[in-house]
This record gives sequence, structure tokens and C-alpha cells, in this order.
Amino acid sequence: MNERDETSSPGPGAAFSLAPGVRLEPLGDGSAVLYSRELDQSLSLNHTAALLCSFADGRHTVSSALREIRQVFPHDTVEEGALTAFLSDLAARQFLQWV
Amino acid sequence: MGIAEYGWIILGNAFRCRGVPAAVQPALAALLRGFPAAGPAAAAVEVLVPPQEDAPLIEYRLINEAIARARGRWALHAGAVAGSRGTCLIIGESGAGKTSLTLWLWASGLELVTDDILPVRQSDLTVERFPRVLHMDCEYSPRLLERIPARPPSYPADYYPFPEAPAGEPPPVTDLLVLERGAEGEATSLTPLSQAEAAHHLLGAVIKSPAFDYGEALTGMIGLASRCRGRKLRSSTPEEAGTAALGALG
Repeated sequence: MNERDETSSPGPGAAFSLAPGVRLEPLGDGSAVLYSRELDQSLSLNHTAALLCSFADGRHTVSSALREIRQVFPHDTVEEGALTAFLSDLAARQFLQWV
Repeated sequence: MGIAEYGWIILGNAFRCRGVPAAVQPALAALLRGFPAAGPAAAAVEVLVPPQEDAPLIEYRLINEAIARARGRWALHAGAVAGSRGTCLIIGESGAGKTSLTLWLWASGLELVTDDILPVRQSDLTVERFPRVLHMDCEYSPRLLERIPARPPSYPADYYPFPEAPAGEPPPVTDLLVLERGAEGEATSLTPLSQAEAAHHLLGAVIKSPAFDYGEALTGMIGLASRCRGRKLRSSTPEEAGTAALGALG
């Protein structure tokens, strides 16, 4: 058996996607709202978090998302640990799942 | 004509009160004077008034009923004023000072759109005036009190008429102030909000009526947030909040 706790923090090679029924609403200033139809809850995201969630397609891994974020925001300091912690928090809130 | 023969149009529905004691009718009519009248033949929601209720309580129940049945509108817990830039919405947690700031801005020359409940049309995200009587039972600055219309004899204590409004609708929404009460002595601050943060605050201000749909409301508030400049205003006194808000809206 290869079971994984979906809310745990996997390694940099793990891919992630939005949970079923979750929608990302990008806004004109780079921020975004993440909305869960099932939970009837939403979260507001800053530009970095919004970009990160745009990679939640089940194919991007933590590492590949980090690489692309650093290309888009070369002057921002984005650490892999912080990014993984953020994704794990979203998973704990049932807005995201590890695949 | 007795009060039982006519009604009021509030948030898109007509309401008629039944069972209002004769002694209460003048005060109730005064409290609801700002809303358009519905003629005796109009189809209306009948609101039965239990005995012993006074005019302010009946008005309160009627407004709540209107919010619960609002058609094609979201009702936000918000103050709003209009100026040359457009309409500015003022929201915040209970006790943050929304009403005080709204009335302060009105007393400073801006047009009052509402001090309490703001209808937002779902079709085009425009806002409507909500000409509910002003309920003023706190201490207010002399500057503000000078602007308040005289209280007619038919009005219950602490209630004042909604001021006469210019013709036409309020201008489009251009600004959002999210008010926070600062600690005593804390310097007043104005912090820009992202559109996502503004949308979240607006969503929190929407009154959750029985027909409330979270996804629809979120989409609407995202649209509204995209049209306005959102800022968080943190201040320890209403006067400082007012000065900062006037500067921001000037």
C-alpha cells in the first residue's frame, strides 16, 4: 500500500492540484480569491500565493512551481519551506490536494 | 388614510403593516417616510404587528423582513457617502465606528447614501440610497449635530429624518474604507488593500438572507472590489478617522 495523508507536507517533487470544487479567481491587481463551493468558504491571496495556486494543476511540483515563481518575481525572496508550508496549510483547509 | 391602507416599497418589495395601534401610526409613518409609498391596490407583503410594539420596533422588524426578502439586491452592513470622486463604502466590524465615520463625512459636506444598510444591485453593482431614519442615541460632535435635520414632533426620541437627497442615483462606487478601531494613542493609518482583500471584506459585510448564495455573492463582491480603491483605515478616535478619510477621498 502506498497511502499518503493528503494534509501532510510531501517533498519538493510532489505535485499538487486544487481540491474538487475549488475555483481560483484571479483579480486585476495580481491578487486572487480561492473559493470552495463545497465548503462555502473563500481565501484572499496575495500575488505570490495567487501565482502559486495557478500552478495547482496536478502536474507542477513544488520545485517546478518555485522555479517559475522565482522567474516571475526575481526580486521576491521565496523559500521552498515557506511555499511548502503554505501549500500544506491549503491542503489542511481542504482547498488543495497532493497528487 | 390610516396606516393599514398603504404600505412602503423597501428593497424592491411592498410591505403593509396590519394591526398597528392608532396611537403608534403617526410615529411609524414618520419613521418610514423616506421610503416610496405603495398604494392601497399594490400587492404587498402583509406584516402582522403584535400588540404593544412601538414604532421603532415595528420599523426594525419591517426593515429586517425587507432585507430577508430583498429582490435582485445584496444588502450590506455598510455606511456610504458620495462625493466628486464617486461613492465611498465604509465597512468594518461591529463597534468599529462605521456609523460615526459615515455621519462625520456627511457633516463634512459629502452626500449621505446610507448610514447603516447599503443595497447593491446584483445586475450592475450600482448602489441605492437607503433612506432609513437616522437613529442617533450616542454622543456626537457638535459639528455633526449641527447638520442633523430638526427632529419633527412626530418622531420618536433619538430618531431624525434622513436628509433630503439630490435627484438621481448615487454615483458609481470608487472607494472602500475598511474601518478598524485602533488602540488608544495609536497613530491613524491608511493601508492599501488588494482587490482580493477588498472582496473578502465586502463579502463579510453582505447580510446573509435566506436566499444568500455564497458563490454569487463572492462573484459580485469581486466585481465591486475590482471597481474601487480599497484601503484599511485604522484609527483610535472618530475625529481622526474622519480627517484621514476626508484626506483620502479629497
